Amino acid sequence: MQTSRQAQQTRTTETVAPAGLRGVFSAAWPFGRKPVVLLPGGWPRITKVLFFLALVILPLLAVQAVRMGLEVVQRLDGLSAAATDNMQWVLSQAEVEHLKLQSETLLVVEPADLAKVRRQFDIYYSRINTFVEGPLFADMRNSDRGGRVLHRLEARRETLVELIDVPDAELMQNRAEILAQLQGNGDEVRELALLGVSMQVKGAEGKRLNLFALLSRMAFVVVALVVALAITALLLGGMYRRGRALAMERSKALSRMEAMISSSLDAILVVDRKGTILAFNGAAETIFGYSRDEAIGANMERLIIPPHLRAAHRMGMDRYWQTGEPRLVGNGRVQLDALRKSGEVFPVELSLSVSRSQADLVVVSYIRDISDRIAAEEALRRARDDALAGEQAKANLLTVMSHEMRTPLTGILGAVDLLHLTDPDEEQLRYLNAMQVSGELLLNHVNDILQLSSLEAGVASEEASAFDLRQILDGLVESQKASASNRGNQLVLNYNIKGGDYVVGRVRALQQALLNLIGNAIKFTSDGQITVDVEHSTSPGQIAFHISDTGAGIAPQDQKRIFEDFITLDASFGRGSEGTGLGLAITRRIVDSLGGNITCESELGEGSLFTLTLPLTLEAKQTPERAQDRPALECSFKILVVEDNDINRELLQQMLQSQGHQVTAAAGGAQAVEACRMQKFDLILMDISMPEVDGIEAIHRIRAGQLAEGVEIVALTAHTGPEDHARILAAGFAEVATKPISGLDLAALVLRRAQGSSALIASAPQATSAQPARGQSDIIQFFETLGPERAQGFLQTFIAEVTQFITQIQAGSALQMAQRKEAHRLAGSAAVLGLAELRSALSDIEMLPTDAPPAAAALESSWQMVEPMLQAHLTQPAHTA
Amino acid sequence: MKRWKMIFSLAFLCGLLGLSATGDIGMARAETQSGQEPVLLTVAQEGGTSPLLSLSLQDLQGFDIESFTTATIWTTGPQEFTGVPLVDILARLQQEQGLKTTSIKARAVNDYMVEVPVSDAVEGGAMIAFQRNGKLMSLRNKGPLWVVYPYDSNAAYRSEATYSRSVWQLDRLIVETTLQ
Repeated sequence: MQTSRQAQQTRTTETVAPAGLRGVFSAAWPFGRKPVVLLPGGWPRITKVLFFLALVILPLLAVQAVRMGLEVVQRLDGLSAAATDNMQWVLSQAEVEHLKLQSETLLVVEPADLAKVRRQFDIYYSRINTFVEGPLFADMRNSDRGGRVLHRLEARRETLVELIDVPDAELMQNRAEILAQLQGNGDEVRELALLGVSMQVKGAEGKRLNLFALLSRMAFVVVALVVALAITALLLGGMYRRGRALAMERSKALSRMEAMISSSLDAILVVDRKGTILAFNGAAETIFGYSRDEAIGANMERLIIPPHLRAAHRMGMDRYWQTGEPRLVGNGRVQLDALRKSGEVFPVELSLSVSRSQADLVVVSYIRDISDRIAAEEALRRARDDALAGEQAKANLLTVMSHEMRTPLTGILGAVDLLHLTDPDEEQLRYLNAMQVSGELLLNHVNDILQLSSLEAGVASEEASAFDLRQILDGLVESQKASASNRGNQLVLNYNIKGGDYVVGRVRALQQALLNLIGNAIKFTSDGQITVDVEHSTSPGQIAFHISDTGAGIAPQDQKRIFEDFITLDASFGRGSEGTGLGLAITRRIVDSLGGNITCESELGEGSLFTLTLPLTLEAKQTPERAQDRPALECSFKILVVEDNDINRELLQQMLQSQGHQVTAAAGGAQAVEACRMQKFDLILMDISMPEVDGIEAIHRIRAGQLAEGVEIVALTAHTGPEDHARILAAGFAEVATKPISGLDLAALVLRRAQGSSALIASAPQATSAQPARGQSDIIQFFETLGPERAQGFLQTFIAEVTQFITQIQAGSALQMAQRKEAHRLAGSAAVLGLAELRSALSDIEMLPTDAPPAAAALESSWQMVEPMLQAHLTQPAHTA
Repeated sequence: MKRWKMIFSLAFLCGLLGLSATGDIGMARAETQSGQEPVLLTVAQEGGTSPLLSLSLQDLQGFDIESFTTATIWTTGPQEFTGVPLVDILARLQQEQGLKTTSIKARAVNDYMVEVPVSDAVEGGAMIAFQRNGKLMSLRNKGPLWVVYPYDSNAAYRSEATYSRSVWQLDRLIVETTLQ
């Protein structure tokens, strides 16, 4: 019982809410659709049956009642109309007239009195006539007794007529006879009166009984009618109450809906098929600027759709009404433009649905003003673009700066090298070593920033190689001891690696990561101790480096942040903070690129512990041999060098030949293609910027002609931008080598790329950082490579050519094509010699448009600076060493 | 309908006038012998000594004669009555003597008396008939004057009250009047 009742209740509530709104919002009802039909179906069955029964019975009863009522009226009419003159009066009056006639006759004394008798007889006669003639007395006439009596009366009346309708004299004589007749007649008249009375009583009684029966039947019908009416009234009352409850529920639901609609932040519009607005809520008023009264009944298209979308809107709507295939309708949120009253067009988010309201289709639109959001998005995008641009500018700046720093640094390192040759005493040697290590690290640092930008550009980084880990660490710690003791710190290395010191990895990356950490430790510690522990990690093939200090420490909330770019923790880093904030970020990036892991533990005021875990595999077989200036070559390759610049070509050729290779030189792209056609090479080194057929074109021709199948072609270029590299690699080059290239790098390149060389890599140890590749200036390397005589020869030619070129430029008014080519050629030579300024001045001239006045100023000034230096090389035999 | 009845009645009246011009008057003279027309209807004031109107058959025939056909409860079959509407009698009273009738009592030869409301004295209401089915009525046959109503054409007249007012053998109207 309980449950069924509950079930019924839930059913009722379910019926009520949606049914109330079904008409208007069936499609838009947000809480799911419930297909409920509002009928008395929810009523108890018995009520329904009773109701229909009453509906059927009521008319029947009413008809019956009317029918009986009519009958009663007829009967009553009959009673009233019925010809009942007062029968008793008429009958008894007959007796009275008879008696009067009798007495008149008796009173006759003289013939004058006879008129009275005649007159009274006429009255009596008339009275009897009434009985004979009147329909009122038909019953009496037809009855046995009545008929007999009347018959006798008539017969006697005729006798009396014969006696009375005679002259007066005769009538006087007939008096006795008349009286005798009247004597007998009196009884008859009396009997007639009595008969009339009894008959009337009987008739009246019959009629009464009849009427009574009819009335009681009618009473029954009326009672039934009343009962049926009462039941109907009860049912109607119930219906009314139910209806009222339903209406209240409806109005409640409707007001809830109204509240929902009016409090909605989205504009809600209901539009009919013709585009007329049927509903317009408060948010719509705010958003569009029209008041509700203005909007309702207006055409939506004219009101809120901007002119440029109207045609599309009409087409879309027509299509929808015709085909019923929605594009916007029911497809979630769509972004469109809308029109305000002010004429302003603004972006909106729109969601449409179609609702069937009273057999009429209406479209319900929910519209959200998203102009603020769009503006915010726009601002955000702009901010992001600005930030990215700033980031890019910073990266560019760093790259440029590092590049510019590298050149003087090579000078310093070169000078330190030279100082080694001046037979320094032991103390000086130690300082020199310290200078050299620090300088090299600085150079690596700069290189690493370059690498950072190239890391971000996705360009391949340093190759892995085998190196002596202990030696690297010793050098590193030694180089930092000076700065450590400056701040009163002790720097201690605990090296606990068993099974050999040689490991395979990226040495420069490792050095930089450790140097960063050690440098930071020194920077943030004073009068304390910095310990570097190196040991095998718990996971095999990995080595852990712990750099601990007793310094200021890092607050817990900052420990994650410190690995982000450009982070300096001003408060806690205090006076020691003078870096760019890039140190740990670069370290993290390096560690990531090495496939390692870096963690930090720290207590404020207690100190910090940074732990690096890197995958470094031990090379057990490595002979503990000092690295050489040049790799020992055990095989020789056939190499084609393609370079339009004479000095550069000569330099490369010499370097490769001295490494034991067979070198063919080509001065341009076309020549290189020819060479490939003639001969098969193991490796091709090709300049990119060449007149006429450049490197890109040349490689296309070679590859297209299948002239060097399986042979790798390496690009040589002065362009360092990542996008240039990408373009070159896309053309089919195996890799890009940046000019100037050192002998060591060249050797490594050849080993890496020359055909069949892969097996040799392991047996060709690389230079260690103690003898860095870029430790010598480019001119010195140039001299070393070519040998002093040839180098000086080239240098002399170069000086002469540049001088001549400058003279030409100064003389000429417009730039010639030949001069442009010359500028290109000389720029290449300047690059080989490491004369960056001169090279860029020459490049600028090369890039000038033909017939433009040549800008010789920059070239002249840089030449004035460079020329004495070059002249010095010509006169100094020191390079011959 | 009513117009047809009127036309019919007028035609009938014309015929009747023709008749009375020849035979009836002669017969009446034969009856009275005195040369004086016998008074059929006396209209008198209640308690008054001299009659207000004394109307012979000739006088009555001098009125605008009307007739209608109806059944009655005292006769068999439809009967045609011809006579003077009661309203015309009252109008004559008002015309000649300036008296407005307020109540009427009708008395028969046998002293039967009943009150006839003034409201019955209307066009289409009570009529004082002197002919039934085209014949003058004798005393033996409810004559010479009979107050009749058009029972068939007006259901309101088919009531006991009206039947009691249908006085036959009428000889006197006793009226109460007010001076105009």
